[in-house]
Amino acid sequence: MIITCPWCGPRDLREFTYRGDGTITRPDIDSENVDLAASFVFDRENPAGDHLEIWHHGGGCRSHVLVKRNTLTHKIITCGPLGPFSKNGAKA
Amino acid sequence: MADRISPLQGLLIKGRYGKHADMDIASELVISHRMCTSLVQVNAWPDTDGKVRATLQRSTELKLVGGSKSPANKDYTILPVGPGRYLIEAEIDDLELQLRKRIVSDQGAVIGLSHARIVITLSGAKATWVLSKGIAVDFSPGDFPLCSCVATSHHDIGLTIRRTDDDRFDIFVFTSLARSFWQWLEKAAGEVGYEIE
Amino acid sequence: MSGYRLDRSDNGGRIDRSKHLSFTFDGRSYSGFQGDTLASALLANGVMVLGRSFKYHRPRGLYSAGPEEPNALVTLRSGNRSEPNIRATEIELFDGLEAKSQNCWPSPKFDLMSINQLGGNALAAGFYYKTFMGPKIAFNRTTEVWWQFEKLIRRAAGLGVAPVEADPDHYERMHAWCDLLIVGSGPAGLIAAEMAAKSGANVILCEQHPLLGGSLNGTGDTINSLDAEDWAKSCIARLQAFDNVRILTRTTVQGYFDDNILQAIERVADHKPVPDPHEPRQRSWIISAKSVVVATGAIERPMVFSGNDRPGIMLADSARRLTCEFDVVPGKNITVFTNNDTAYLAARDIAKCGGNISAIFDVRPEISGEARAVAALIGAEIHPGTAISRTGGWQRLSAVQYGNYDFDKKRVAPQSHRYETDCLLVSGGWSPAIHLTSQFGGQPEWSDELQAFLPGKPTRNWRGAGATVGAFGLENTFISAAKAAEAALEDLGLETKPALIPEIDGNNFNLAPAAVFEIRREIKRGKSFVDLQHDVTAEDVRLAHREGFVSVEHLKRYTTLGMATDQGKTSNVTGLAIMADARGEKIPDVGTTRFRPPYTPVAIGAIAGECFGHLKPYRLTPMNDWHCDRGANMVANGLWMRPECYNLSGETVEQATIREARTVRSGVGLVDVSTLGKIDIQGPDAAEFLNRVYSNGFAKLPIGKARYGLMLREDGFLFDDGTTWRFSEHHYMMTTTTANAGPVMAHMEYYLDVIWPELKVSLVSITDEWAGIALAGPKSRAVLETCVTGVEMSNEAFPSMGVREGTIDNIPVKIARLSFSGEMAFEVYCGAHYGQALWDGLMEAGKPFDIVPYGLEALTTLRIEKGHVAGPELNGRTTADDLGLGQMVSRKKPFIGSILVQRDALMENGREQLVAVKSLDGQKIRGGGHVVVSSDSANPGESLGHITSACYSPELECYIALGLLKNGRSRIGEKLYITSPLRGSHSPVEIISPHMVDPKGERMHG
Repeated sequence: MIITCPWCGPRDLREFTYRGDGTITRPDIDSENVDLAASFVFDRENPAGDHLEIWHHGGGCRSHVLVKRNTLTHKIITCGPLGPFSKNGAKA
Repeated sequence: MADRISPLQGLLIKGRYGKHADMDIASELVISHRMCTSLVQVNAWPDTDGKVRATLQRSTELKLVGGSKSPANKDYTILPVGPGRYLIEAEIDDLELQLRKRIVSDQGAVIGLSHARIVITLSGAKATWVLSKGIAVDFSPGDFPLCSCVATSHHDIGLTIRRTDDDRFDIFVFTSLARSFWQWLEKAAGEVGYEIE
Repeated sequence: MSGYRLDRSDNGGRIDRSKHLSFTFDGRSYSGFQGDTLASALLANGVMVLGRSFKYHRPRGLYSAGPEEPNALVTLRSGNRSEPNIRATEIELFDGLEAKSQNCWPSPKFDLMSINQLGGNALAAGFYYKTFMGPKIAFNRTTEVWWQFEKLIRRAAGLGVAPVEADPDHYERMHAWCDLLIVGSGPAGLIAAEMAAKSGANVILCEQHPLLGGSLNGTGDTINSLDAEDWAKSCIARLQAFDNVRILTRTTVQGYFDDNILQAIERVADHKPVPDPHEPRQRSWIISAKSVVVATGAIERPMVFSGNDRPGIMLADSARRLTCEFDVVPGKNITVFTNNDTAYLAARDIAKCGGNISAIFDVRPEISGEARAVAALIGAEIHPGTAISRTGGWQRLSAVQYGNYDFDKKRVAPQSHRYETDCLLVSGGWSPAIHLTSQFGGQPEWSDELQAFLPGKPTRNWRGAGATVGAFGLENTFISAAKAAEAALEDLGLETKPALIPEIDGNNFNLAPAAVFEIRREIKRGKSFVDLQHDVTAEDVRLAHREGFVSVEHLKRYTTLGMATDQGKTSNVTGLAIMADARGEKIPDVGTTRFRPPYTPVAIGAIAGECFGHLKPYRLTPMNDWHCDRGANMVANGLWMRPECYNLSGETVEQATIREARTVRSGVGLVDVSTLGKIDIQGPDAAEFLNRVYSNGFAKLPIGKARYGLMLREDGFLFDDGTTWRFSEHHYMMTTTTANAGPVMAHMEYYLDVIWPELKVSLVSITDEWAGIALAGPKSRAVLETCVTGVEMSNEAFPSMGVREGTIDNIPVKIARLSFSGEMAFEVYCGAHYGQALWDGLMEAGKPFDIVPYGLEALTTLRIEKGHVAGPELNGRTTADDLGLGQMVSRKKPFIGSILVQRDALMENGREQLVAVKSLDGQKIRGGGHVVVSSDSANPGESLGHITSACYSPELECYIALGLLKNGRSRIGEKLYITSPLRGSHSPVEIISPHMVDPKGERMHG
């Protein structure tokens, strides 16, 4: 499988590690809401179809990539940047 | 001052090895290695990246053009290894100190890595063939021209690879993993025969 | 009557008559020629029985000429290179080759294990679910006798035996990229390759056999007035001249994976007795192709009838290949049984080479004019509308019985005639080799016209060409290949010149078969084999249907049809057809099972590639060689190698450990701690970030100080512990446990990229940059005082947890006063390339103080005595409070885990808490042993907790351990037992406080 890292280009899956669901949002650092905290840790959708997920390019530039992938066909639909530089948009 | 010892010291002994080792045929692969006089990583943040690049260009007299282009001159090489991340090799031994003076802590981070990597150089007609055995990156001249650099890995061994000439590559390997990497490389190179400089 | 080599003076096909080779089969010597396969050479020598079948031990002979071969499985080579289940058709003969038959004893011809044949119907499909078993009744165990039969039957069934010695060869991986990968170098592949080469595309052409050309070799067709074979040779020569074409022979594409990545295994040295020095035996190519043309051709399948497995019965086109490519005719008096016209072409070509075909039995009542002409030409009598009802012959075919075939009743008439023949060629149609294109779930489509499954719609960037997509016959093949190549090149944005379709010398045969898969008799008799390799009969398929296993997936698993090493290449479609008939449905409604890689059997070594000996890389510290030279036993700690202890001569590990630990507590020792994870943390928001990742306060850590920190997971459980040093306002170094260095780094990178990208923090791993040495013991300060420059070493100037920079022997060092052991201690770091020099310097400086090096065992012993937690206690199920570190969880600030750490489940009564145990009977305490109340080792009762870390304590002079015990803190003083039933120990212990040495910490702080 190939993931296109926004900074490095298309790379073999072996350079990446799966880091979990890309649809969840962590509550603010100051939040004291237990339900939100628990939901962030434990609640997950498990779609049979397109799934937004986060991969870590640890064997490359060490940035994180937001990937939309179909869990039935494994086809990768989009790969987008994450991290401080993603606001600047495209590749370095 | 004590001597620095490389993890590959005593392992890379001058000579010819592998196929054709004892024959009078020119080696199609030459391997050498070095420790870095200075190796420094500089990390910037999005709003300071421009300033940091300017500082690096001034300090090294090199021009950063973007993408994976890695410029070099006699004294300096800059290898972009990620967004806002620059690895710089230099022939001077106090690069870390120099850069720390010029890049203040809220502009960027300066991290000394002179001991964290050693560099293995592969050159010759079979360099691409041998590299391609272990690394899933297209090293053909079309896809990886002169001055290209890539941050990749061979199994769990992190590598930064740069094309320094037509058939010549510098491979930056983590110091603690250097011997394990060499164990793979010498076997891979044995198939084509190689010479150690 | 048997196979024989044609007497020709010129070199026919692949073999080179000037090069004689000798080989042995089952210990007997034979000879063959360069270019032979083992199969062709054995057949040429008249060896007809090559082995015994899997279950019934029936004699079996050669069935085909390719990788689809189900019968001729041999064990090749001997000793540590011995390899079982290799198809003789795929073995290139070399001088001195040794091969042995399988699954028979003492020989294929005389096999004592064929006793299984007497089992008859009792050994039908699924017999092991229904027979030879019974309940084991406690006092009357006689039904166990049935279980003994299982052992006997198992031993009598099977294929080859795997060697137990280590594989002496090495295997490699290779990565390649191309614009167009072409799988198969038959006519379709060659045309596509040449078109692509001319347009400038980067092409890789993979061919599973040593010679290119596929079905063009040995065929009687002509192309552009040349013999097809010569046309192929000229095309290949043109291809080899192109720079942009890489041709890989002996390379089978085994798997088609996501993103157009395909794996091919190249058999680099299998055609030689042993690989050349430094040569890999096989190479696994991982090919990333922008576009793929699949030109894998088609595999002939038989029709199934009673007694269809006798040696001498084989596939028609395979016989053609053996005759025309290898000059070996499979029989002296050949007959043909077919439902299509391709068998006539095979007969024609065999006769042209000199073979004798006397009769053709065709199920179809109407035979085409072209077919009749061929029969007339070769002098064979045609029997239209007939089918084979059974065969005869002991250990090899001697005659067949044939009768009229009734299409409506789907039965052969009981009145039959005898025909003498020593070789029956069978053709039941062709199954396109759609394995690769179906591997990722693309549903194959049934073609009624061709009576075959064709590849479905592409869901990846590939196109099919030739017989693979049902384009049979050379002209159709060329047209479909040109179309596929054009489309692929257009996709790639390359200019294609219109293809020049070569002229074929008229072959106007309609190659479609009649829809006949099985010949059934009015009264069922004998066995009709569908899957030869697994001995699955047509009756087995109907049995599965009767018992309710009607889906193809159940059919496969219940009968094992298609599950042998040939994966049903010549039997799957026939099996489906029989099931469809039983269900009264059409074949496409029954469907196919899932195709999975590899296409043909692959050596495990080829998949492992360079991962032999160890699965992961290993990491070494700069002082590694010194440890090894001292004779220390190096043990794996994650990827790192660390010294266990430094045994003096005659010392056991335990004795060395005790000596080393004692020396540290009474004098001074040094240990290599370079393996600890070290992370450089910088930036204006570094302090804030550390405050969020650690459970205890970090925002106010003074410059020049270090602090022990706890990291929690978001769910409140402990993740890791470590120490972070502060060098300046925005500059920190975090240390982690050795094992968690990677996970902690990844954890922090995730938060900075995904959760808090607004924080300005830089993280870089510096584990490799710094060598680390811990100097521990009451004399440690004194040692440093003699060798450190630039640092004031007094207790006031350098208090506990202080961080300083100085030099030792001119080596720049960073020193932190930290203690893992509970003694006065310092951690000294320097650049890794100076690590050995620093170690030498400290050993020298420590000489007057009788310094000793200590290893992992002593390090562990010291920290257990101190009650300091590490990996075994930070097991992912413990909280800070469980380990007595509750006071390190701040209530004043938010941090990762701060909310869920307070949940009820983590605060409730009855949780396992950290305690220590002291042995009361002088016995070692077993790590992993469970804490129980009962003194009865046979009935230990409920587990109250377990032992996490154990050692002998030099300080307390007894065996101790740390462990987790329910409500442990309130059970100090109790006497309990540690039970380890698997290791047979049940030891009395006393529960004590984990802080066994210097509980007030005076030694560290002095």
